[in-house]
Parts: sequence; structure tokens; C-alpha cells
Amino acid sequence: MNNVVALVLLYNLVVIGGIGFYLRWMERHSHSTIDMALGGRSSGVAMMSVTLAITYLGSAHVYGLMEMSFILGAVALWFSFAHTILMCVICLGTGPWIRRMGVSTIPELLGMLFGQRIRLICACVASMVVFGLVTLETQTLGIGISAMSDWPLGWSAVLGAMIGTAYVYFGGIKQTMWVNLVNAVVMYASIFIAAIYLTFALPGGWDAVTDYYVSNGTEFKLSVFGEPTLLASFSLAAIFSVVFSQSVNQQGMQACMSAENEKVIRKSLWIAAPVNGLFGVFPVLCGLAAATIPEFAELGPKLAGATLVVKLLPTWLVVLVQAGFIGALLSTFAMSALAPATIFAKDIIGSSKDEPLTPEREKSIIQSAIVIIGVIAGFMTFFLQPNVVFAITWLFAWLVPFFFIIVAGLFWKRSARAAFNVIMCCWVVNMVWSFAPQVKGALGLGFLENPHVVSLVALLSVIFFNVIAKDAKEPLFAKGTSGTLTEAAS
Amino acid sequence: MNFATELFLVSTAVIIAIVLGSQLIAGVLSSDSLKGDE
Repeated sequence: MNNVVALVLLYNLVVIGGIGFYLRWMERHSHSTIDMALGGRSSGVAMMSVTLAITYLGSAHVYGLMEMSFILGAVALWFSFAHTILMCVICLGTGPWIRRMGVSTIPELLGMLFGQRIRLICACVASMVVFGLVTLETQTLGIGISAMSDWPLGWSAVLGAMIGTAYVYFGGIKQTMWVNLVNAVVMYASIFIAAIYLTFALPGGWDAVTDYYVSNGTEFKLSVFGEPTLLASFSLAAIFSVVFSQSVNQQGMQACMSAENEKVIRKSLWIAAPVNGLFGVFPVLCGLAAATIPEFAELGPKLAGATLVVKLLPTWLVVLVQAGFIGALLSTFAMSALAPATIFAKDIIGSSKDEPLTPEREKSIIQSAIVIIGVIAGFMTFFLQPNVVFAITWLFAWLVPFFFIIVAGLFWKRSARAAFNVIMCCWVVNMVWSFAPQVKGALGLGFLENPHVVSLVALLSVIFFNVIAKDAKEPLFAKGTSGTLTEAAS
Repeated sequence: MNFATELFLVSTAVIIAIVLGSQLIAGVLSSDSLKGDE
């Protein structure tokens, strides 16, 4: 085992194990049971904002941005800016709405809006979709560990799943939030130092990078605004797919549900937006610089940026940068594993019982579900490694209709039949778009990705089915909110 | 000022603009029903 891998693993062992055992010790001393799902709804601004920011920093930010900037230039940063817009939508919109409802899962909210049938359908589909995301995060963890160690991807993924499971197993969301806070500090300190170090380590410094693009007539690659057509197509596509599919995603919403109150969520925007948005600058710089140096450029867009980091930085800095990168991937894995475990405990087991689950029973179910999810994700990824970008695009599209029916149910109309029809239309279109590509070709819409077309279908169908709905109830946030909320809750 | 610093500053400006813009939109859209019970 090389030094970088050993030190990165040791770092994770100390941080994750230390915080996990501390929370266990606290639990024993206070004679209470840890609230795995929501941490007792006591998160303050620091915990909430950092967790929200890091949950949405996954493999696409770390390795995807290096690849995209290598090809497209600095305009790739719009992928990060799309996530900044997502932070705004969550902190000023969906997050406070969901916190106000006092729910623990998105299916529970859908149940309040449209009844138990919609709740159960959405719980089953959402937990499977999020599980799919867990397997993809397992794969990207494997890629990260494999890149450092030269171990086979399958075994690296299994190791990644084990560390990711430990990240959340002992203390649920509270443990994840504490580890996230430590990782965020390490991550930002390391990439800040690395960016300064690269100024001296790059042959010719950043000026040589600028000169390369100017002399090649591709100066537009140095600007975040790129060329007008590239800017419009790339940024709009990124904003559409990120905002509509993730703004009511259980992983992100679980952080909001754990917040002390709505005010905490709104304030969190001032930290979550820059912490999430500025992270992208470093990978984009690496991708842009790698494309100008023949030694790295010849490796191609996927490997050039990552190899530049390993080759040009000193070992101690590589350890810190890799620990930060792996930390970002692990946090996404942890929240993605916690989300289906929570849905399973509360919406599938809990909602079928006459009496609510005791805190001990709920904790035990969530912990067991996290372990099972980790084991299956590791096992599956050992044998199967699909294309991450295509798979994520397909999975995200399943979640898009939830955003539209929730907004309609909160502010316009509540019709269970309309909600059901919208969901079915979107899911059928998503399946057709993925498994019958000749259809989109025949319609001349081959340029639209799954989340784009599903967003369009969701918007049109939610208007159509609600306009013709005859059984609609009034929206939850219409007037005198409390009365309607009480009625919905019952 | 080198290119890396420039990119960092432009990104910071874009992010601040997005956050302030969203605060403005949220302020305009806010009504009793949207505000909640802080």
C-alpha cells in the first residue's frame, strides 16, 4: 500500500471513528437514543449549511468538472453555478416549506398532500432511485481509491462502501454533519493551498496556461461566459437538470428537515452557496492547466486533471487534497444511504403500523437498512460498473415530477388523481427516452436529455391534469395555513 | 493578477449575484402564505 492511500485511509478512520464513538459515548451518558434520521431537529446554521453544500458535491464536481473543463473550458463552471441556484431554491423555497410541514421524508409530504396511495408509490420508487444513486457513488468512491492505489476498481468500490457505511452508521445524520464539517475545513484548506502551489509548480505558471489558449485562438475557454451558443446550451441544460431533479431530493431535504427552524435554513444559504459553488474552481483550473501540458494532455480528458494533481503536488498536499475529495464523495454516499433507510423505516415499515415506531426500534431499522444498502451497493458495484453520467441522468429524471406536484399541491390545487397522472406520464416518458431512442429520434428531439424532457412533460401535465381535475382540494399554503395543515396531517 | 485569481474572483461575483438575485425574487414573491411562522 502506498503512503498516500495509507494516510488518506488513516485520516478517515480517525475522523469517522472518532466522531462515531464520541456520539455513542454521549448517547450512553445521556441515556437517550440517537435520532438517526433527523438528529432531534436541532441543527444550527453551520452544520446545516455545510451538510447541504457537501451533500451536493459528488463525483461530478470532483472528476466530472476536470473532464468538462478540459473539453469545454471555464464555461464548465456553470455546472457549479447551477448548484448555487439549487442551493437558493432549497434554502429559500423547498427547504423551509418542508421544514414547516414537520415531515421526515418526501413521501410523507406527498402523503399529506395526496393521500397514502401516492405516498407508498413514491416511497417505493424514490427509495430505489436513491439506492441507484448509492451504487453510483460507490463506483465513484472506487474510482477515487483505485486512482490513488492502483487496486482493481471492484475491490476499491467495496472498500469505499465500507468506509461510506461507517460514515453514517453510528450516529446517522448527526455523525454525517460533524464529519462533513471536519472534511469541509480540510477540503477547502487543501484546495486553496494546492491552487497557490500550482502557480509555482506549473511549468511557466498560470501565465503559460493563458498564453497557450490565446496563441491557439481558443481564448474563450478562459472565460466562464465562453461562447454565446456554448454558454446558452451548456448552462441552461445544467440548470434544468440540476434544479428540477434535486430540489426535493430526500438527501438534501433531510438536512433541511433536521434544521432547528425555517430561519436556520434561510440563513444557511449565505454559507451553503459559496461553499458549494466555489469548490468547482479548483477542478476547472486543473482541467484547463492539464490540457496545455502535453505530458498530461495526452492522457485524455478523464485522467489529465487528476494525474496533474498527483504528479505536480508534493505528497503531503496530495494526501490532503485526496482526503478532501474522498470526503466529498463519502458525504454524498452517506446521505444517499441514509435517505432510503429513512424512507424504508418511516414510510414503508412505520406507516404500515398502527402505532408509531419507538425511537430504539426506528434506530435499529435505519442502522440495519444502512448496512444492507452498503453491502448490496458494494456487492453490485464489484460486478457491475455502468456509465455514471448516463445512469445519474436517468435516475434524476424519476424525481423531477415530485417537484412539480409538490409545488402544485402546496400553492395551487391538491388532486390525487392529477398527481398520479403526472407521475405516470413522466415515468413513462423517462422509460421511453431511455429504452426506445428511436422515438425521440422520430420526434426530432434527440438533443433533449431525460431530465429536460421530463421537466417539460411534468410542467405541461401538471397544468393540464389540475385544470381538468374535479376532485381537487385547496392547497396547503393557500390561506390561514394552520387550518389546512391540521386537516392534511390528519 | 493571474488567470487563476481572476477565475476565482469572477466565480465569486457570479455566485454573489445569484444569491442576491434569488433573495430579491424571494422577497418579491413572498406573501403571508409563503413566509411561514418563524
